Amino acid sequence: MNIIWLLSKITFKQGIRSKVLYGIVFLSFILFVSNLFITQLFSLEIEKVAIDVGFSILSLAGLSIVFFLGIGLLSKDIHQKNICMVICHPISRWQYVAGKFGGLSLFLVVAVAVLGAFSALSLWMGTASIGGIQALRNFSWLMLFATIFSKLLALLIILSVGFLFTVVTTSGYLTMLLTFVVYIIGNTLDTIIKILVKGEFVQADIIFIKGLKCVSWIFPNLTAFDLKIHLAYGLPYAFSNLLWLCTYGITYIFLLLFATTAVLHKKDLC
Amino acid sequence: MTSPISFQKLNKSFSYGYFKRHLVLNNISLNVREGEVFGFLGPNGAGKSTAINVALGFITPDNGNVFINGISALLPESRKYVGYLPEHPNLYDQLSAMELLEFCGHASKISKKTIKERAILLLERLDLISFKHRPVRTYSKGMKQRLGLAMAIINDPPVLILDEPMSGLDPMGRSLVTNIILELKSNGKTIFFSSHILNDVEKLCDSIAIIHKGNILYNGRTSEFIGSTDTLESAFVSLINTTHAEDRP
Repeated sequence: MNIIWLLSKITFKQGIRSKVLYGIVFLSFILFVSNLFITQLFSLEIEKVAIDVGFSILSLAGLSIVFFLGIGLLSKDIHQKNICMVICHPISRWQYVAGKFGGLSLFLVVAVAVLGAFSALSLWMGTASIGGIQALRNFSWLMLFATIFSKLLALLIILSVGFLFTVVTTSGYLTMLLTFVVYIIGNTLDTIIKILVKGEFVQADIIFIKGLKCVSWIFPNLTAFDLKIHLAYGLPYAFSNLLWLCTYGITYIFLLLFATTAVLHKKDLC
Repeated sequence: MTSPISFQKLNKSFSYGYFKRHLVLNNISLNVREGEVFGFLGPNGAGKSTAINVALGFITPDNGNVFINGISALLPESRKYVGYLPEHPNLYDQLSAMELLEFCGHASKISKKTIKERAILLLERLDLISFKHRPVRTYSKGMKQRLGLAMAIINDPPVLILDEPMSGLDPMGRSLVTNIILELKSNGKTIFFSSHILNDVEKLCDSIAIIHKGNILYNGRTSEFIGSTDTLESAFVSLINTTHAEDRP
């Protein structure tokens, strides 16, 4: 456990000191400030616009961290052989994967907490003209927290997908491309299924739809982690749903990390 | 008595194209004696780095194995006894020398106090003390190489594997590293190192092995290999040329 914590610590330090981080922080700050102006352009559903823009910025910044910092750091380790500096000590490969993921997760937790706070601040300032954040329909801080938490879980899933692709491929660009493809599929497949089920524009076989539903959870289903609609419209969201979402997300991450370790174990590192 | 480093019938090939394989190590067996400096020589592409990579568990052999103090190199525990300096140390650029040394020390499970003491001692010895808190990305190639050596010996391992330790060093740096290797030798450490600089090998090594196209051509005392020839370099070139001539149809 000490070794994993040791690796997590140096990975976290690497993340904090990475120049990429400055760019992401600067961009996020600019976007959050611009959110205040964007919301003023609307006269209806200001709260919906403020939440949408705020959480989109959080997603964008979080994804930039996962892709450019997370996958970037790991890819440098695997593809440029930095991993040898770690593995030449009495450290096994599963400890390396766990430590790296731990460090990057810790970094994401801190980043999402800061971005979430900014998001809440921009929401509070953006809705000041309609009576502040408390005036939103059925607003609850718990729901805001659940929305941020589910976003974090989705980012961790993408990170674990990136881990697997890093050890499977031979280049960082390829890893980013494949991870991005999975991200797009994970975000759109659920919408496609909804359209097919409605059957307004296209008719599809029931077995095909059921198969597609299974695939949407295999890929993973990132739409399920998007709770901002519930927050914006004050829609109820059962605690059991959140629990199921956590179980699904954590299991998915563990399975991918297990696969990453299995591939890395077989891989020649130099 | 268990040999500190023992290569036993080691085979390794790499695939290329769709179905072709290139044999890099062909049934290699070597035993390094405790407390000796062992030079591993060979032309480029002979298989030196591959053998070292197997010894450190970076790559898995097709057949055979390497044992470090009797423990299979495939097990992480074997690396408790080894310090490793690669030809091009790939270090975490954002971290400082002190942080990297602390990481290596903790990874080898030595106490915090010992790490601090040894890190300061080594950084002073390797002329890096005034840069100890600077990120490694600001270091020159030679400085990185010296830091790599400090990282390899921070836990005072009984066995050292050095892959081209003089690579990228200026004459001052080379002399410094040579003196450190001699110091380590006098402290009874077993040192296995590969180098192209045969003058250094002649000066430092008790025994050598010469590898060419994955086969061991010579394994024995350095003095016996040099024999009647003037230098190690001329004996080495002569052996490789003879092998080339025999290879030709």
